[in-house]
Amino acid sequence: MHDPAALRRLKIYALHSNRPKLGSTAGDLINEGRFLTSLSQFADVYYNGQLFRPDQPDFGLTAEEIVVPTSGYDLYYVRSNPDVFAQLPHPKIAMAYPYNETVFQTADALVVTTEAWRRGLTPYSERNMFSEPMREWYGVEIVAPKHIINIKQTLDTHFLPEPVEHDVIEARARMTFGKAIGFFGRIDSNTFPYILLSAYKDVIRSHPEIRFVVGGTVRIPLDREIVRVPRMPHEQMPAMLTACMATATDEGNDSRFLGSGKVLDSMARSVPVIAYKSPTRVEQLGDYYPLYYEDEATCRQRILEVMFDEDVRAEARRQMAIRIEHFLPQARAQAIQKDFEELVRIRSNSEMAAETPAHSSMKAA
Amino acid sequence: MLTRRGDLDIAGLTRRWTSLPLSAPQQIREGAGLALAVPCEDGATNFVLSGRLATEGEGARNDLVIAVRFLDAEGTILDPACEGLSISEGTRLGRYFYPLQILKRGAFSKEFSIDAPVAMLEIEILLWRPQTTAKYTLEDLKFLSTRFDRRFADPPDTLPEGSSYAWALSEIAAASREGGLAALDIGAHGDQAHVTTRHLVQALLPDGRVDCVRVAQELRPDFRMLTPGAQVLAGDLGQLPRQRQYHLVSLYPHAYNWSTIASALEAIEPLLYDSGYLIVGLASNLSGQPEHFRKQLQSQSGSTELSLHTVSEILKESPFEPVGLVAAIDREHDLDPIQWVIARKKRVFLLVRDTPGLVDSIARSAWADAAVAVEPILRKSTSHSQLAAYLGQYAHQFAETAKIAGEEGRQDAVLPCRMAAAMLKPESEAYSVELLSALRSAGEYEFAERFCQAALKRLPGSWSLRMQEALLQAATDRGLEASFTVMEYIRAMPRFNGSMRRSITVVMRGFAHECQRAGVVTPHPQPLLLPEVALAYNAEVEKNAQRWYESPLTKLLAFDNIQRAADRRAARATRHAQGRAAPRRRTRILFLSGGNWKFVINILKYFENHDTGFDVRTYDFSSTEESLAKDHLHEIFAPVSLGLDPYEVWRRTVESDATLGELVEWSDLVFCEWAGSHAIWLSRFLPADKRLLVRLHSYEAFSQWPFFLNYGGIDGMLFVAGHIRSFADKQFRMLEHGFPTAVLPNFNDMSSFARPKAPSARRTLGMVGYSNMNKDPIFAVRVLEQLRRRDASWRLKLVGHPWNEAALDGAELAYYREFKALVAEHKLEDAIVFSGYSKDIPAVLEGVGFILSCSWREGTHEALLEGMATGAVPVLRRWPMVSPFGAPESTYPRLECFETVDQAVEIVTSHAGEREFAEASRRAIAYAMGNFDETAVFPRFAEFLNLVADRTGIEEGTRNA
Repeated sequence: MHDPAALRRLKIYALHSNRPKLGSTAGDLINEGRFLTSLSQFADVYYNGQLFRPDQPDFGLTAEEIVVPTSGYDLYYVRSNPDVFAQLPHPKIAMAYPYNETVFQTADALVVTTEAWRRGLTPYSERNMFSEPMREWYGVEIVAPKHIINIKQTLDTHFLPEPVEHDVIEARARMTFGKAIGFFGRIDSNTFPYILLSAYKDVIRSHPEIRFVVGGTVRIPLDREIVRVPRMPHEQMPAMLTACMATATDEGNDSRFLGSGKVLDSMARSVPVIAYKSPTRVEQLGDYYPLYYEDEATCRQRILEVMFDEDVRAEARRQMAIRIEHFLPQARAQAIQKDFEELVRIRSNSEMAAETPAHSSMKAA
Repeated sequence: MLTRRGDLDIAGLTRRWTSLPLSAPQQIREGAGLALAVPCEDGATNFVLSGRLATEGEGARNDLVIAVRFLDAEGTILDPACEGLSISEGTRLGRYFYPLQILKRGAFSKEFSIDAPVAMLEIEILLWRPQTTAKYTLEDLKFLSTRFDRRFADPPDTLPEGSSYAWALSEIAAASREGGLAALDIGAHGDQAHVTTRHLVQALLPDGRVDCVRVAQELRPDFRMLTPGAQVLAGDLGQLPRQRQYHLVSLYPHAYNWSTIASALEAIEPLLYDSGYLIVGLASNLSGQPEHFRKQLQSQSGSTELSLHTVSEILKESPFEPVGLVAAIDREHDLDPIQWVIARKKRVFLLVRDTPGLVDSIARSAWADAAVAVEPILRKSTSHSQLAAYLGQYAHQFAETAKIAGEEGRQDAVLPCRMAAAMLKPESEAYSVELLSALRSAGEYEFAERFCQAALKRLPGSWSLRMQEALLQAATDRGLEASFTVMEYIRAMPRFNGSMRRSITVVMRGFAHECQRAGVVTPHPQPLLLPEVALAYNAEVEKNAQRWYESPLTKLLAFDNIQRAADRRAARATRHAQGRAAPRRRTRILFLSGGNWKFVINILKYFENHDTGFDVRTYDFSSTEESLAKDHLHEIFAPVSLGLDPYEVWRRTVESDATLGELVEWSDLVFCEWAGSHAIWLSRFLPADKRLLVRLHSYEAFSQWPFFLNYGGIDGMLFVAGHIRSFADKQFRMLEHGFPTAVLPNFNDMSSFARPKAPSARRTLGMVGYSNMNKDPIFAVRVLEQLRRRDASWRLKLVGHPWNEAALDGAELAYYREFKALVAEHKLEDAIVFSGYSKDIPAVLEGVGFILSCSWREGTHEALLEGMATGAVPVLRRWPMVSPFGAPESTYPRLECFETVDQAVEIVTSHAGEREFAEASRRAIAYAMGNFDETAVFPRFAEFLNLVADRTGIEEGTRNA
């Protein structure tokens, strides 16, 4: 039985897949580190049984053997490890992806990172327009989650300080010293901004100084007009972003319900994002952000504006500065603290009320 | 009943020379090309076209085109897979194959093969460009067609038994001994399986025996009636009696699944006599097969069509090889089209199987034992390519074992494993180079000799191994002889291709390495970076470098230089004459680096913050370089004159990377940072009208790269230190090429570096960048130890990236351990402060009063000059590896230097007094600012850029700044 945790800091167990420690080399892991950083604002987070320290290298974690706890925490959060999840006591929560029937049945809550994602799961239905882009992930039907918490994404505060001039110039050197539109991260057919590429190829006929620069793990053939930079260490990313006139966002199906670390990174560096308009981008950048596009013609216009219209650039930065407050770790912590504490409280009450926890579940239409 | 048809010569080969109908040399000119229809040996699949080409005047690539079309007996144009030719997708000639870039004067010969029987070849040779002024004459045109009788003839229209299986069986039976044959029939439960059994029964009984395995739950009720006399042994291969053997095994799998078939073949092998036949029924095409079988076939063989070649590819690692393929329709039963693959045990399989200990060692994964066992057959086998194909799957294990054994010091295991890896994967340069390196390190020249002899004898097509023999000779201090040997090989070659150039790349790189070893055995890729090698070599640089220049291959590089310079002069003269010089405007400079921008940042920063009259762009060459290293290494190391076309190479590169093409087109001057492999490539292939300035720092001068620079393609060279230029000139003879050079140090904005020193600074030594042998922190520790004998308050601060012990090996690891041992011996742990890498040099050196430069070799040693700018007193070693060329005075004139620990201690102590330190500190700041600050250096830098950018390339003479 748990004590109501309202009067003290929550103690949360966390684990990502079967990783004994968290690194910061890939998108998922970077985002996970940022989320746990938010949690650490109001809770003591123990990743694989070790205290998660946001400000230390590798979050102060060492590669210890994974031992599944049977008690001792107020809340258990596991991502992508159904076996461990099944063994954990309640209350326990999981990321809403990848889909696992048992996890969905037994989780006290599922976490998602965008409102579009949350709405797509409540209910998951053919009649729900938000569910449509998720078909590839979830299939025809899923077990309805008991509760969903939108944790949103958390901005990495390491991106906030201005990088040293030396690093920015080096980054510009890698990007031809021209006017760069950057696209960094995993580059595959699910993420690549093909509409923007078409618009860019049109724009550079009259403005050859503009360069579309991509960097990261490339899994698709790239057009000859694209400048490719080698994969950079994560700590060099603030300088790489600062060296860009603008950045691009994912355009694939997933972008219709997934958050985007790229957008938050750009916001942190105050680098305008030329954004493919989707509910998730609007969640991040707001309704009044000036650089959305939905088709090639608009995208072409946005590229020209961001490159040559200082007023548009300034407005984009202003809007991002307004929105950035929502994604700072403290703001995120405040937003989700209530949800988490409530979850722990409800669970404690229900345990007090019944000897055996009952798990109701239902099929979504 | 079957009838004998006489012996079938399965391994037979028929050749036929065809003299083309050319009674006299043929002139090829516009409107008068050659069109020949050449009859081939019936069913020929392999061809050689040879002749001699005489050219008058300057020909150009693609002037002359050869188009080849293949026709079958009915005159239909064939369009199957073809080796040795490329396909043209249709121009004015329509679709055709083209064999070679024929524009080479003298003899040519081209081999090609096609995966279909050819009855007739159509060859057209014609002038492609009407405006071509050159004249071409073809002589001695000959044609050789070869037919490998590895394919059974097409079955006649009326088969004796109405079945392709029966017909295939008849072929086998005819080639096998008569009567008393034992056959095993393995099939699924189905109509076709019963048909095969019935044919076997009819063919072999009553003298022989037919056993059956039915991979199905139950037999058809009428099986006994249909196949009287056949014995059903089992429903599973694993249940077969092991003591029985068969002359013929028939396998009719119920569906394509190569992994299942492959495991079945493994089980069948012991059941079949070594002289026996295997006959496998497969659907002729996969149109009706499940999609994943199609994909599987596609991924395994690169084709969805089942041909003899395809089956060979799939069976590559199995004990069997196909010897025939019967493509026919079973008219009797109207079943799906079936092809019967007839296979026998590979000779190499039998060789491997019968080699004592080999199979057992492989089964136990005892790779060192396996390598020892395999070595004799690798040398003796007459079918090396088959052996390599069969055992090649283990090359990686041999290479890995060699690596591990090397780490464990087991040389006896290293060499056989490396040799096995190299012999089994002769196309793998890495394995061959590793083998050579191991042989050299081990001094195993006899072993090497054996290896090379075997390679020469057994691998006539493997040029790289021939080249490596020459390398081995070089390893025994016979470099000159080696290069002559290489040259002889080259002269004997009928033509050059990518593989050949790649081989030469290996040789030339290796030879350059050999030339710089100074007799010291070392696997270090750049031996001159090792103090012991450099000290020996630098004593007589010109004499040592002479070995390189005497090589005939090197002379090809020298020829390249002349050719390139001439081409550029001509291109620029033409441009000049046409008055196409661009109007005067701001000079456009493209800075290009292979990924390391460290020393360009300050230049770019200066351009950003000042109106210099230059427009600047940058290009990071690292992605392009990755692709060069992977697919086009020969463009960097093989002589261009061995068939590389600079225009074509450039065109291909910018075709896949428009940015490089655009930026180069935009620029007036390409500033190539570092004289590395990217500089070589640019010096060879940059468009002729572009100016190229190469900056050489320090370590490149001691590498092999500058040997391969095309100095005819360079308009200027910039050095960061006079002693580096002096060495580079002696080593690479740079200054004789007539382009201007300058010595200008790296520069920085150091105006804010000078800060008051902390009180402890007068007793603190500092080094910035220390964790490698070249920086020689051991020397610094010795100085510290001497100082502390007089005054225990002395400290040493080491700033920079620490050692990563896990990443160290060889000499660097030994050095690190020596460093640790020395510190421990003198109990200096508390006197040495380690400080991590920092970009804020003034802050990190605030407590450092004396900045040390103890290096073996430096160009400018930025850390020293930046330390001086903060007010630290310089303690400068006379860098031993470069002192014969004027260092360090060439960079730091009038600064006091030391050679011994005592001298260093004397320099420190003489400035350690309060007044002396303050004065020396002030002088250090003034010295650094006056010589290395951007305000002092940039004007000279800009002047040199303009000098090179304005160079027409037509003028002669050298100007050195």
